[in-house]
Amino acid sequence: MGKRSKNFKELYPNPVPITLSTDAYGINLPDIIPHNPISWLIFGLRYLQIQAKSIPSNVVRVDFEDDVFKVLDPTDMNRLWSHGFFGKGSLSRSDPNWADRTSARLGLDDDTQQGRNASEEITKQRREERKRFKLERAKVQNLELKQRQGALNEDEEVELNDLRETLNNLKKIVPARKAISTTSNSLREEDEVLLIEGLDNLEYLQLQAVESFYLKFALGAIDIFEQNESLSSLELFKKCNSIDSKFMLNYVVYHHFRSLGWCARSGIKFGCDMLLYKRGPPFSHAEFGILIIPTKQEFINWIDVSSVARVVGGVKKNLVLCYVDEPIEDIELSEVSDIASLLKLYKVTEILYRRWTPSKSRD
Amino acid sequence: MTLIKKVKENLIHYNLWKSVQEHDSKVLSGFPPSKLIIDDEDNQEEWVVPKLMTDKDFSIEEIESWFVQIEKISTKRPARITIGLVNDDATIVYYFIHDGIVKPRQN
Repeated sequence: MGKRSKNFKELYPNPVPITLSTDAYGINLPDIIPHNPISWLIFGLRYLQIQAKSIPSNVVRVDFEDDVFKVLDPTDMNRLWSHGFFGKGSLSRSDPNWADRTSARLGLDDDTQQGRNASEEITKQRREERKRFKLERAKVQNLELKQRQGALNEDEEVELNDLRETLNNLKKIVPARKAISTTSNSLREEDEVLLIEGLDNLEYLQLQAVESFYLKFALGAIDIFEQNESLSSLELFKKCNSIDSKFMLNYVVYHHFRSLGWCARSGIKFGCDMLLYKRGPPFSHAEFGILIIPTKQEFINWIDVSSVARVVGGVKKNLVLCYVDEPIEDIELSEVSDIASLLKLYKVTEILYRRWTPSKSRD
Repeated sequence: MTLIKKVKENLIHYNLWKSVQEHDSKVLSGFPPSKLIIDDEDNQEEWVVPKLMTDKDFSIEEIESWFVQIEKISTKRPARITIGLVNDDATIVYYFIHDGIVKPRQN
């Protein structure tokens, strides 16, 4: 664990894609010892030294095309992922590792371990084991049916016992943490095209509208271009509202949790609006699923809430109902000029929703 | 990139399907690397209809029209089709739509 956390520290140094002057110039501000005037002096000197330098800027370029926010530069893709876990690889489950995975699959480089240990590969391995288990189980069930009908001969009896043992052994196999080897399929025509054209530029990092707006408006960490024209925060705000009528509501909640230090990501896999990670997906599973409930609109019914809660509860997460109070007067979002003041008109209240079973929850 | 291109790229380069083809810019056909369900035939052709996650309301009539359209292309009405729903975080989730009632599968 110690080794792993050290590695994590190097891989994911900052919770946001902002470069601090102290990191950029390697000047650290020393501690101040109140009764030691020299420590004040050193602090002051270092402070001035930093102030004299320009503010480091490391702004990522994002392209907006066909209603999609794309980061195309591999260094930038990695920067947004490793500094706060923004975006998702367009051909990956989370971090953009498609090129690594593919070169491992096609046997392109010697050092393929990275591609093989991608979370996608581990899942694939687990699914293959499960598939094997199901095949054996089907055989056992067929023979058992025959046995109940009294039509089992001696050979089949032996086979059944053997199969039962195999099945038990398969049940005992601990799910793999590391993929051992990828099954090398024969090359598809599609792969031959890849080999000729190279693995570059097929995958990009896709940002959600809420992520893009947060990175632009709240952090100033990205520049967004539409047909090579830079978009201002206000232009972007209007664009986002025009793509998605629920953008403002989603953004209020997203901004709320990101500001409180949570890593918020899409909740699509579990049927809720957002997932909250303590630090980010590589560190731990998401702890909370978020369901956004605008108080001004008609309440979604409790059956829907309970269905989402069962799905979220099934993967050991808690469901948080996030009530959003919208401004009392209707606001025409396309006519807004001050986004910060608009945000102040919204209020977010969280309620933890948990299923309670009287017989199981007696303690 | 259009919706159908996104799903096509996902099928080819994420799910490793073979011979994925577009039909009338509305439907995709192709061959998955292995059977999607254990009872499927070997090398069974699959049909995929791309949709946006935000398109919430499909009527039965619309779903029926997909079956009719595929029947015209392949000369055979498929027993099931797959719907590919595209989310704004580039996740694509796939669901089966069967032509009528089917026996539930053992998990």
